[in-house]
Amino acid sequence: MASSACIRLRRIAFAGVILLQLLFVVRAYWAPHKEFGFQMFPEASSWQAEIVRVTADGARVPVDQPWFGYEWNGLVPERGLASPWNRHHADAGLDNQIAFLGEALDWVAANTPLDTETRYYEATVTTWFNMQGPTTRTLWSPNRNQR
Amino acid sequence: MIERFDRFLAQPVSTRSLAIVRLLVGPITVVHLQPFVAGALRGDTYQDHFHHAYVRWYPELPETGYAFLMVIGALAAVAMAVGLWSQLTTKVTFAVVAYNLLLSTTHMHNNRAYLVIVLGLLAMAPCGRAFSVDAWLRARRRLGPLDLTAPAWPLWLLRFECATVYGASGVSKLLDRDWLSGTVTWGRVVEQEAAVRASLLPGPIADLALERSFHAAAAKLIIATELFIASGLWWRRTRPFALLAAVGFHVMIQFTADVEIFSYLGLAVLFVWADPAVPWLRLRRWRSPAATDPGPGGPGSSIVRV
Repeated sequence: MASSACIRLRRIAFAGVILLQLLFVVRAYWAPHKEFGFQMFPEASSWQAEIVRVTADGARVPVDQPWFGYEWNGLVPERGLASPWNRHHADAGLDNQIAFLGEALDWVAANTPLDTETRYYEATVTTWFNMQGPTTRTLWSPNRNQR
Repeated sequence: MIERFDRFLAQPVSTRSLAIVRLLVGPITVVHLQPFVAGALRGDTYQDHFHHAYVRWYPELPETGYAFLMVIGALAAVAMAVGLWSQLTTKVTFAVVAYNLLLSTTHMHNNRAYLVIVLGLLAMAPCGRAFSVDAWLRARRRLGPLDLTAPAWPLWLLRFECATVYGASGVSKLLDRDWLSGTVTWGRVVEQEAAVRASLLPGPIADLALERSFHAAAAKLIIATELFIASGLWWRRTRPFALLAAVGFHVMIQFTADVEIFSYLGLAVLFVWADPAVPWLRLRRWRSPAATDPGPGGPGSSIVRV
């Protein structure tokens, strides 16, 4: 026979797991990364981005060219973010893809110490939500000089 | 009410179906960890490219430590599969896979999240009492067989999670107008028209697959299938049909999409519904009333049809 503490713990663990799972499922309707939400193949959306490095002198240099020994595809190979200048399917939905792209810009800005030229990164993102006409938005990394 | 709930959680059930899941999930975990292990051993880890921590304080290891941890995880998964030191190796496997998943938002995929849940529940359950090296060693040392029953709650949680995966997916599609109308599936196929035309599909079938009206019906069928699996698993009469639908569903997904380990994991976890549906997994009688925990006021008698 289990002790009363053990029985109570079992009760809490059982109800807790179920409640937590249901919360994650509901949260996935607005959270960009949808962890434990199990929304599979959510969209037929696609996206494409022109990403440039904006340098101190105001030049806008596309990141499809290597810079200071860095390459975009080497820095950001995952989550469908490689070769963003080509049109890609948004595997886990546009919100998810845009969130990842924004985080990737921030990461690249913070993890390219050999680059002494770039002030910030700018991505002009074109999206096609479920086969509908294109929409454009712009994302920026933080200004590297202010780090 | 609470007492009935406690009795339900403590009801002794066969652990054989959990043992089968353990046996299958072990190699699936190895397949999941393989790219992480291979990358880490050649000095290429998540730290070398874009990653994004969930929380700043999450502990990170140096690259050598990370590589070591991934190898430990893979070895633990192998040991878990064969049922060697099951109590320990299921927990280690779960800890390593969960740690790795939560290291970065870029590591998160539905199939990996499902794997962590399954491993977590296996770690809570005595899933190494059957079909295991532990049981074999015990028999060899003439220590007497392990009790093959255990409280039902981890099995029910695994069943809940199994149904939730299909249910959450089906409901999200049902609530999405574009999914329900077939726009999403049609869009995906149209995007890959060249590949569809170049595939082994006969011309008329390829034409049909690219036809929008076909997707208006197919999308509803997909949603209905997911929702049927999620609900049909709970009733004994519909369970065999739901299991059959789930098998067909996973086979179809495996051949049409890149879903990493999802199909294998989905099929493996279906075994949690096997007892008593599969006769050879069934325990005819609970043999050792004293060795299990029937819960407060629970029956110390026969069981197992859950």
